[in-house]
Amino acid sequence: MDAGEALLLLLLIPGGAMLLTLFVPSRYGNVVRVIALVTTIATLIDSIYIFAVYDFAEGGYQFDLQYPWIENVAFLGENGISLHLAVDGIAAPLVLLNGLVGFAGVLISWKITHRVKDFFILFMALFIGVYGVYIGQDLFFWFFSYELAVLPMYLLIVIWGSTNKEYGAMKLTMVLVGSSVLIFIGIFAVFAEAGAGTFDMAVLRDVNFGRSFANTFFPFFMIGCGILAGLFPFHTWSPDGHVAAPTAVSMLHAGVLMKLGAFGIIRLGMEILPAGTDFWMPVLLVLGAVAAVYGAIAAIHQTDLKFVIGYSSVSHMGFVLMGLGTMNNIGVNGAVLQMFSHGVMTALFFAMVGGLYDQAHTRDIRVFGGIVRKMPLFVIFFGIAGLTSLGLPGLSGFVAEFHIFVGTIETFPLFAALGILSAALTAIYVLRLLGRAALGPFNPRWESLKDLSRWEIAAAIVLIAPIIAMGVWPDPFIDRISQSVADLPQVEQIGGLFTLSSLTGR
Amino acid sequence: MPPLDHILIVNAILFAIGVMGVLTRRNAVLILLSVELMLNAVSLNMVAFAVYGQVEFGNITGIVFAFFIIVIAAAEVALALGIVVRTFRNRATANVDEVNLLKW
Amino acid sequence: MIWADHAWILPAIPALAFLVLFAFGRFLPRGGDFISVGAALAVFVLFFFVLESHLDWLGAGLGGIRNVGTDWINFDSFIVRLGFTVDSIAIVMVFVVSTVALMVNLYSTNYLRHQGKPEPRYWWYFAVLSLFVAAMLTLVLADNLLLMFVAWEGVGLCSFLLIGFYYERRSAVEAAKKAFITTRLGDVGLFIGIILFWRATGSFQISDIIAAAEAGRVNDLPQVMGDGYLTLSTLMLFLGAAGKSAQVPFHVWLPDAMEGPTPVSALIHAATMVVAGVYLVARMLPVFEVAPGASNVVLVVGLTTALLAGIMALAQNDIKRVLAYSTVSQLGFMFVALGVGAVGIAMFHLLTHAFFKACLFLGAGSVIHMTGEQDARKLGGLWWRMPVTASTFIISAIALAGIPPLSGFFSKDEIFVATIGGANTLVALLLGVAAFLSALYMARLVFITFFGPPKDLAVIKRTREAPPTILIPLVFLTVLTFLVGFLAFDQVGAALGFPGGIGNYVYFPEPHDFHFSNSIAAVTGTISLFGVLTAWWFFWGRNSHRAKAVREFQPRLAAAVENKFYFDEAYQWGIDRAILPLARMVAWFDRMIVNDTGINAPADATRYVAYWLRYHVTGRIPDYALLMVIGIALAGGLAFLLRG
Repeated sequence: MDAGEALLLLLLIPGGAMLLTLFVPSRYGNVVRVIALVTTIATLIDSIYIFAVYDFAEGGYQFDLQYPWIENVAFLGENGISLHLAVDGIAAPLVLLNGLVGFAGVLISWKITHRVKDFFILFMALFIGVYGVYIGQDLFFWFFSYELAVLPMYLLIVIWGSTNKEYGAMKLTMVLVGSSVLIFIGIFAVFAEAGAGTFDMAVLRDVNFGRSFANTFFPFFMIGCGILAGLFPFHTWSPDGHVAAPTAVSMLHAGVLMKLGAFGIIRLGMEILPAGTDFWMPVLLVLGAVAAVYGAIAAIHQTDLKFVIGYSSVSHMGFVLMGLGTMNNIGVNGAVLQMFSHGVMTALFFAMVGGLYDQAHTRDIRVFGGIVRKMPLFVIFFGIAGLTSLGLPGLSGFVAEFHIFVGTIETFPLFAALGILSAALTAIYVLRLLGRAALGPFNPRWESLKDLSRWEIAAAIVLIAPIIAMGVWPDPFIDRISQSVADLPQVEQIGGLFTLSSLTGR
Repeated sequence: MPPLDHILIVNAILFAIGVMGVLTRRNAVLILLSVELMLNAVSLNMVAFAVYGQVEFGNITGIVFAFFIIVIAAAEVALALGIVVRTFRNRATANVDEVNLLKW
Repeated sequence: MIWADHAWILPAIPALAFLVLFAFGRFLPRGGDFISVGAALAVFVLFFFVLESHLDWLGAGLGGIRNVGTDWINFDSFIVRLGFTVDSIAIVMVFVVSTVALMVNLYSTNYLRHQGKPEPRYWWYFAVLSLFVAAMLTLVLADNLLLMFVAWEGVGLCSFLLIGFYYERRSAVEAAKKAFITTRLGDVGLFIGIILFWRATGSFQISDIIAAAEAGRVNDLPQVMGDGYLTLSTLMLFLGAAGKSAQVPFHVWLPDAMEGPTPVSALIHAATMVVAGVYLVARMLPVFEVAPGASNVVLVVGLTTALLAGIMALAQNDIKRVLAYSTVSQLGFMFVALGVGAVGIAMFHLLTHAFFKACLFLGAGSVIHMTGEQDARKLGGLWWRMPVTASTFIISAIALAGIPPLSGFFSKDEIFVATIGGANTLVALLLGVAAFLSALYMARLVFITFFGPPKDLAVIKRTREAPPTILIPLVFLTVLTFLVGFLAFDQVGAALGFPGGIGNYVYFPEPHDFHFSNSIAAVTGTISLFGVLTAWWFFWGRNSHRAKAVREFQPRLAAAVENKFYFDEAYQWGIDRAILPLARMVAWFDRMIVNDTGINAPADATRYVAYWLRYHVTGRIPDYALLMVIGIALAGGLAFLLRG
């Protein structure tokens, strides 16, 4: 069962593709594209394999693989720094998410013509970095991957971006690098305090850190990772970054990169420093709830399509943070579900916006009108993303959000109400956007618009399939996630505690 | 043999002359010469410590360092003179006050 | 096969039809409308099998509720079921949904055509219609609140899509948006209510929650709010119900929803979706009864709505809008019945209302379709041009007005009986006013649409009777309008298999016998007749100067009524002056304070410091060397000082 090589392949395939691409003369754009496509198909298959084979009945970390790199020198002991890979039920859906979004991203990027080779090399670097974070089990390697996922963003935005790109890219990089300084400090504090001479998370998880140490250093992880997850009030890098970034980068950025932050809070915060959760998780919950409402209200005012979606990401990531903050199995489960759901949904959003922007060269929703006449598929796909975002049952967003709200009401009923209200606010901006831009009288200025290209349709289908799958039958996800969530220390078990004799005969 | 202190004082004076030369001279070539003076002062120090520091002649670390410094100094002079020559070609001067492009 | 155990098949059929139509609809001949009609027909037929097996249970004394289904989400004993239940309330609803859906499907095959050519997106219309039927059936058959919520949102989506069917029209898009967002705000309450109940009982099952509420076990665990918790949760549920059923102050969306195609108005905005709120409260009524004050809220809201909407309907000139306000008002009647605890009666009124209101809407659609005009002021004298449409419309209107022996009379009369028995006289009196109003506005509508001199000869000239596919549903629904009223009699009930009549069939907490009180019936009948006479006095062709005189006598009141008491204006004001400014403020705050101050300021400060610091970079080598020396000297000095 423990075929850790499958995980290694997730890193080696795109890594190899990067090397291969380096040696392709840059005038062969299509060769580069095909390499990228084949790579992402291969990683997607591998991701699906990992997701499917992960044995949720057994739970815990599987596919364990460890190669020591530096050990027993200086301050490092046994397995000091190693390449340690494993997935648990929380990482497995996210690995799948990255596979899906990466594949869709390559499909969407097919139309890129400027410096194709450089684009895909950087894209692959980003892709590897994200995988590394999801499957990394060694803090050193984890942090390396984390940075690897962040830094190519700068170049990707500055070279292929649009709209105020230097500012957006610089802010994104500065804020994220600043936040990783906090993580860096936290990692070394944990390393020193544990005194085990290893960065291996598996070892550090078992170390019992004292309450005062945990309370001091938990916020380093919580805020450091939280910033990447759009933690209020450090979220503004995200909308600006989205607006500036090229389509595929926006997709990866909102789809998987922001999830790294929330994932980091689970991996570093909740798993390694559980003692700090008592004090800090309520703070996270409050900030998440604030972000959820705040992002939704701010989105109502935006006129740039990407800004609307950018703020909606802030709002939805607020739900994730809320779910984590509940510290009970249902809420945390919902948070992970929401990570996946929001990942595919926003990726779909950005893919669609990209398809429109490339033709119309504007994203101002006020100048559109009735474009459904020219782009029916665009409107259908965009509408599905919008409905997911406003939490329509039958699509993935509802399943996730309702777990989060149910989890929240257990301890913080008022914030659950706030969260539900913000889901209703989502309806306002999504429908306003659809009503303004897609429906209504046709604006003859857009006579020349054409519907989505084949590549965009393919990408949309890749992303819609999991949205519907999870919305209709969330069991495969919940099976995996709930096992690992239950294993998280300090996470309270609730649900059905007070059930009366049920008529279902259970 | 003179005591170590004397040798160190000589070295210090040599070094100070070099520093003063670097700070006050305006001709790039003379500044290079002053830098050489400083390097030599340091090498001398190394040798002095190598000789006085150890009873037996087993430890030659200081002397090795001195050789390193000589080699590096030679390389550095070659490089620096190259720069000076280029600057002279471009700006027709070896006066460092007039070569102030490297600023804000 | 015990059909009631496989009730899930009912929603599954139209769901399948939706999938087929969504995928292939536009390639099929006739846009695949036969698939949708066929699905509706299948549901209609299967309903009778389900009914039969349910009546068998009742006959065998097996109780009402059966749950079948599977787990949708299940981990750590957090269970959400995909479960279906068939009880008498659900049976009534399924009857309404399946019948009206079939009629509307049939009707639409013609309505959505002009000169025999289907409208654009014909297939899409039928796809969404099928989806709606599936969602609506799921809603009524769901055995737990969460699945009900899923379907609840699903019907909301279909309503949105169908109101916005003519999305080239700005007004249709706005109406769709308004409908969705208004009901969605109510749904916030519903969802909060659902999870509040979950928090207290650990279950989403309706039966569990009712059992817990009756055992007095719905409260927050720390006992902070005590019974207040139960009331809060219940009222949250009611918020959702009021939103969906367009009760004051959420009623504003329903008249605007008339932007959709008329058959949609008949199905969704008259007979089925808007009564979902009534259905929810009826389902959860035991909880409302236990929760202190909850029933009174339902009663007051229902009564207010019945009165206000009745008045508003008086001043409307668009045929469909009059009907829409009348729907709102009648839904108010149902909530009044629920408020006094009479489930059976509320469901009975729901049933009769569904048929005559659907018939009215379809009749209005027939008028609109054939004349191309929906402003009643421009019509008139239509009855001799469209005799079948006119007579079905008039019969249904009489039913709505509450004149015996049509179905509306029985159900309304029942509500009066229940109100007098269960609440105080004032309520009954006000309800009488509302009943008077409903007779008044319906008669007014009939008079100015079908009678009197034609206002526009060109319209009349081109008008002729509608084709059979439109007339058959009208006639069928009229027949039902005649018949369902008699379900109240226990003899009829006994003949059909549920002795005691419908009041005894749908019951909670105890069977409700049909109290036919001659005196009350006489009073209500008189009220209705009086309403019709008043309408004749004011609105009958040559009498219309009297209505004008009233308008001139109280111009401000008349303006208030014509402007629907300025509800829309108030909301618009709220949106323009509160929500959008808040959004602008938050967006500004985010830009200026959070971003430009919080994030950019440190960067700007760094740049500012660097701006001044850079002046030490003179470009002169001796300066650098001097700084270096000073630095080394300082470091050496420091090391010397700290050596100890």
